[in-house]
Amino acid sequence: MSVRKAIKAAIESLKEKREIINNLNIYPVPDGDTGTNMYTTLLVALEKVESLRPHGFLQELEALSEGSLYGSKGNSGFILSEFICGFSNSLSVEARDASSEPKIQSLIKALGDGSMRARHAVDNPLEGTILTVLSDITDTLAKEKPKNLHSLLKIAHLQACESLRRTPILLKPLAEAGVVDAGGAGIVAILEGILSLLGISFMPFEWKEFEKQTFTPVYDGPRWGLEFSLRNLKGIKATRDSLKRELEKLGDSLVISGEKVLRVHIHTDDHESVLNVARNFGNVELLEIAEFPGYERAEIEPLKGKSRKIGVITCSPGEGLSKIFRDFGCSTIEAGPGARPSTGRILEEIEKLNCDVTIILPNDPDTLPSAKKAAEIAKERGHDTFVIPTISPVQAIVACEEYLEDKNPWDVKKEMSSAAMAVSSGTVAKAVRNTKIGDVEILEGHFFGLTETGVVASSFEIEPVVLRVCSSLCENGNRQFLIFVEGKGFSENLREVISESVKGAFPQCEQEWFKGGQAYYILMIGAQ
Amino acid sequence: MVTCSSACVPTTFAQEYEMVIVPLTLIIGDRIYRDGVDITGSDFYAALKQNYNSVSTSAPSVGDYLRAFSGMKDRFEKVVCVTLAKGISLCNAAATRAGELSREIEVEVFDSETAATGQALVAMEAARLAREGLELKEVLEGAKEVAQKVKVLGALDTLNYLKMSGRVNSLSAITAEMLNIKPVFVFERGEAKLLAKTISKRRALERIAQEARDRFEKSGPIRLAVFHAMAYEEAEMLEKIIKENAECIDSFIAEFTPVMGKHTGPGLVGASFC
Repeated sequence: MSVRKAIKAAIESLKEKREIINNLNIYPVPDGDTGTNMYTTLLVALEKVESLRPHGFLQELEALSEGSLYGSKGNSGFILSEFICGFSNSLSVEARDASSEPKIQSLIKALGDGSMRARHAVDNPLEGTILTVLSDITDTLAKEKPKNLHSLLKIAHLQACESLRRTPILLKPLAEAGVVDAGGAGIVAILEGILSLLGISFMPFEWKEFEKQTFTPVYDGPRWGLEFSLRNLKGIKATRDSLKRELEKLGDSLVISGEKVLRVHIHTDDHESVLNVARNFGNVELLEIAEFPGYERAEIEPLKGKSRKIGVITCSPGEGLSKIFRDFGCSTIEAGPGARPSTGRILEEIEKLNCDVTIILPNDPDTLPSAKKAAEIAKERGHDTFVIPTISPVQAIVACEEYLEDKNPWDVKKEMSSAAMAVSSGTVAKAVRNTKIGDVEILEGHFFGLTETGVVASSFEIEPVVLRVCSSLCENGNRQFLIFVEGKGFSENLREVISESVKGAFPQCEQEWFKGGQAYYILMIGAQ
Repeated sequence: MVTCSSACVPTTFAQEYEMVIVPLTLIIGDRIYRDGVDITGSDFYAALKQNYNSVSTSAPSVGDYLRAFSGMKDRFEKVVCVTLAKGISLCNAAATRAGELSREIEVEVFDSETAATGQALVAMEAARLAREGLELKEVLEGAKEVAQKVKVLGALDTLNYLKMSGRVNSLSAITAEMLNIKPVFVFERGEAKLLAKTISKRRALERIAQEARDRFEKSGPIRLAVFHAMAYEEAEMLEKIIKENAECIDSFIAEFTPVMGKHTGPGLVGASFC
């Protein structure tokens, strides 16, 4: 069995289970993208491995490691990539002195190393997550000492399912939402894919129980957005025009640029065929893939001009927000659920900006790991890069007020950081299923308010929810400004009503309203 | 005391201290207007909006200054003329030349190195010192002290006018359109620089107020002069916010002279303090 086949099998399985995994949300908002993130992380890893000619086992491992690192998206994608890197590196060391088939003991050790590395990569490792599933698997394997691949995989899968079932016990919010951990589910799916590849019989996990969570997608355009470079075009037939003809049949919004190295951008429902066609034309590199439901694809304008002293990269979930950030002189990367920037994408942007000092604002907890990793790699390559751990775009808006080109970079970093962290943030979204979180009963169709402490309100009326969120945000300290970022489709009427209401309840606060255009979150609110 | 109309000195003060204000000129189409005399702010900004290129401004002529100086010969021994910053206009050059040519009365021309009501603060301090009966040297020293301390800050509604005027060097820091941002400028040492970018006019005013507060905390009570171009309510709000956070010896609100308004456009609100 080759590395390539194993990844493909894992990808197939994740592809099937992607939606179920995405929908394992704690909060009743259809913005889950763990399944997609783990899937696309592996897709990019696979491209890296595919682009190797010829394949040797060690080279495949290295490509797997590098590819998943660059392709890592979202929290779970990031953990998966760290696991893969730990696993690959460990196995490479072992395989170097042996024949092409690694010994079982080496595999077990490598899995253990991968699990440890993943655990260390996370700032606050929580039990009841993908980390628990991984460490449970590796602990059991170390104990049972299976003698062949067949039994290794079976034991791993059994343990993974058991651990997954236990996650709600370890992490209360999972129990309250009636789900299991999404990242852990991804691991189970990967194992099932590899077991199927090898024709080993197994008892699959009870996926059907979680199918009832499915949310109906709102978006009816092509599902996927792809961008990739095509290098080493093969033969005289491989021209831009012939490629165009082939790809036009598979999707729309096709843009092909470049001469010797082509950069392709396309929206499609069938990303696999697109990649198959592309591979016939040359080597696919720097693959970016994003899933679209409900998310507006933003127009990215490359920052013009020479390299600057200080660069700021902001991750933006909506076109309106992107415009604001660009007005501040920031470089924007689109970053919504399903369309998170990979580590590689952020790194690419840092290198493109080529500034003396680069500051990254992830604006979402799920984008933070990729941002941190990209910064780490960038620093190793000599770019001074910092991440300000913003969890909401409202924090970024306020932080950007401190971004001035000709200020001392350290002052800018310090001031942007203080400004961002001084903003308390919350959101208002609409529930797509019934659930109970803590003491709050949330019904389908309710508007519910989330702050950094948790759910603060839920009601069929949006006004009281907004007011309650604002109260919560204004609790500590003297708040002068309330900043509202409107999601896609927010009506003028509603804004007037809510604004009046907020004014009545918080007359001492100035309100600033912006059209953000983000999906899923009707309002993102900040208090400063 | 003589100063140019760009200073926006309140009329009551000018009358009380017998200051002569020399008007800059505005040219709209083929008609010439004297700033502060022949044209109102709203007419000017309307013309500016309609056809930017039909509007131009110029400093007073040497003759204008000379006439102002000789007009004072019966009542005063010497004249101090506080001008707009040398770097942004020809007022100082014209006044200096007029000073050299003046036979009837001794003239000292002083470059305020500032603009808008910053210039007023310098001129008004000089006028106060002169009224106290101080010697010329001491009056000039007093004026110089204020000129070095005075800070002028302004928040614009739009950058379009500033860009068209070509008078801001740090524009490279400003991106193409900046539709969503309200910039705050500071005028220091003869040139305007970008101080901050804020997400709304209200926050821009807060930012200006913060500067005033910082100055108060560092050096004690301030003299405040708020200015605006067709934005009186916002000017009042700015004055109020500043006074909430900083003790003011005195303060006034002035309408920004159209001569400078050409470069900023209507909607400008700012403050100077010393």
